[in-house]
Amino acid sequence: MNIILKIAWRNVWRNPRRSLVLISSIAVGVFGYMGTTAFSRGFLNQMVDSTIDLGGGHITISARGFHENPNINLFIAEPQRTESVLRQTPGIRTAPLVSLSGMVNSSETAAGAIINGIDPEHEPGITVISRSIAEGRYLGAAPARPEIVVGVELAKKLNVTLGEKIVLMISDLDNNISSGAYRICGLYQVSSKEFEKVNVYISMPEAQKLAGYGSAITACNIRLEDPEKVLDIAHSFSTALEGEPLEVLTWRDRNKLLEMAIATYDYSLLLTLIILFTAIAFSIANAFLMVIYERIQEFGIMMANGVLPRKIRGMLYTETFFITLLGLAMGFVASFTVFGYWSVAGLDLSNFASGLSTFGVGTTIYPAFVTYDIVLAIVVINIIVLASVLYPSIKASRFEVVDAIRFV
Amino acid sequence: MNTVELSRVTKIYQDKNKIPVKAVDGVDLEIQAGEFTAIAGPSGSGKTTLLNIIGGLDKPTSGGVQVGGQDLTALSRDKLAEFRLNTLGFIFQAYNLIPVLTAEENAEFMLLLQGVSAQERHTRVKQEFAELGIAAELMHRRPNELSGGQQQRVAVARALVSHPQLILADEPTANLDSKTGSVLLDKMKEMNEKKGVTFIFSTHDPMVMQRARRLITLKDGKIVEDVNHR
Ligand SMILES: Nc1ncnc2c1ncn2[C@@H]1O[C@H](COP(=O)(O)OP(=O)(O)OP(=O)(O)O)[C@@H](O)[C@H]1O
Ligand SMILES: [Mg+2]
Repeated sequence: MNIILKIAWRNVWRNPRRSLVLISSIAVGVFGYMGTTAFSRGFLNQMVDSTIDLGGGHITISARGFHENPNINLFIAEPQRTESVLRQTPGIRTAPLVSLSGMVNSSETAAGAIINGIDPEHEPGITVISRSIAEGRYLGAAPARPEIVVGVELAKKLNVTLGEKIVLMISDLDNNISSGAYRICGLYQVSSKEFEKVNVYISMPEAQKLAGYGSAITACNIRLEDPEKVLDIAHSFSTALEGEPLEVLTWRDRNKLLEMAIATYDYSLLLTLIILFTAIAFSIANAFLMVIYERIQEFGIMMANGVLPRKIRGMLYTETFFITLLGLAMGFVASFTVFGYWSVAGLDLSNFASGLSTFGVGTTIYPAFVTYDIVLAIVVINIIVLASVLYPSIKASRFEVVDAIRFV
Repeated sequence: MNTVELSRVTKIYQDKNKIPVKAVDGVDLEIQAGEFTAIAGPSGSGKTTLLNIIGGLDKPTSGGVQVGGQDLTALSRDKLAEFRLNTLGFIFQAYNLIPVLTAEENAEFMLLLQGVSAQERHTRVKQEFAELGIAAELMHRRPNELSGGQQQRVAVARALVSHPQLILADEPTANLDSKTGSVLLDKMKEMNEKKGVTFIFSTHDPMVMQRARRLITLKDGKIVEDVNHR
């Protein structure tokens, strides 16, 4: 082994307590950083999941302008053309949707609602509603009488239970009030209470009848087997449907706020990391200033025996590098153990943050590790720590050899 | 051929009260390759300062310093380090060793920097330790586990194994008993005679002065006597 490396390594263990303090401070910083980012990533992931799972899959094709302004007059008049394009695309699941804004009335009270007319056979391939039934059952394929699935929260609000009837009311294509009575066959429960309060599910023919749509639909929802391909596939749809009065939106387009949060997250993470470790860097710089005064004598001996000043610098950088590596290792082991456990078991924050369900993520957070975050930490922490010993190291290599030797 | 040429070398230090101290005062000195020279003189007479200047560890306030044909006052810090690595061996008055390295590693330090093979390093260090009476069980001890005299001998071994042209030794026998000191001097003399290595000592030790072929006496930074016993 290179002699300078050897000296650097042994110097780490020369004053084990001081080194351990430095190593632990880096480890604690890493742990804090990893905790922050793992929870944030988990939170963002869960928001993405809920946008996809509740909001209509990865891609939605609807009449142009519908997303901006959900209006009964914006519909896909001839869904056959869109469906034939979709049929040619492998690796996707699709389901049609009729989406109407209206009112839901119980005998006691009324509330605004988004009425989702779905195809019970294909819809389970898109959203999680069919798998989120808390009571009763999902919509049947060909029910004898009109039935409806509502959220647990809405049922509470309307003060209705399973088996009771509620009335849906909308203003139809001709601006006439159109209404229908539906028996509640199931109650669903999802991560977002806000969602439960407004979204109700009936069969698509019922919804088409209510709106006076005939065979028209509002949208085609698409879920991909490989979510990474979302942009490519969305692009191919846009190209294939060129000229039609349609819009092809990905989940990112549907949730611009989330898209922005994800896009800016990397920068805010970098900022957090820099602030955290700049504070730690000062204590490291201070420790190394002490170190060099303790060791002036031996720097002198080394230089007198022909060690180049830059090797003295290199030796101190190496020592710092070893300390940083040990700190990183310790911090990552602790992070992977603690947050790794929660990433599987989930951390239930319901006692602290009931408001979380507003974001549609539920009250249990599953922290997530992202390679980028780990690499960023390794690179940035090394840079900051090495920068912090720049001044002490340069100072060490500038000592006049005689002064260094006489210094006792 | 002159290995060392000092012309009107003066070194003035400022003490804490900014009063100038003339540690070396207008010294002219020529030392030829292969000499075995001792510099004597009372404490504070400038012996260490003079050796440091010859070794390029210290710069004179004025005057010229040529060692091995190089003008040391004109060399950069890096070039001086290289010069020391390849032509010099240094033995200081005290505190010679690198604390985190074992006796063996300290002794082979310059060989490591010079890129000498492991085999060769081991042979040279082992032989040198044997000749200097450093017991094999001391090889793997660190300096703080060695006596002052043992440390001093390891430092001597380090200077000798690197086969320099010029060895500067600042009171090499100061921490040694007279028997060990005598062995050490015999060893150095042998190197001087067989390999032509130039030695310059500073010393208070009559034993060193006796064996030196040339004895230079300093007083208040000036050469007051220069005797050649050839
Ligand atoms: N860095 C320094 N600052 C101020 N004065 C110094 C410095 N180094 C040496 N001196 C002074 O220069 C003079 C010569 O010192 P030097 O160490 O060369 O003496 P020496 O002959 O080696 O003495 P000794 O036999 O005690 O080792 C002394 O008066 C000393 O106090
Ligand atoms: Mg001295």
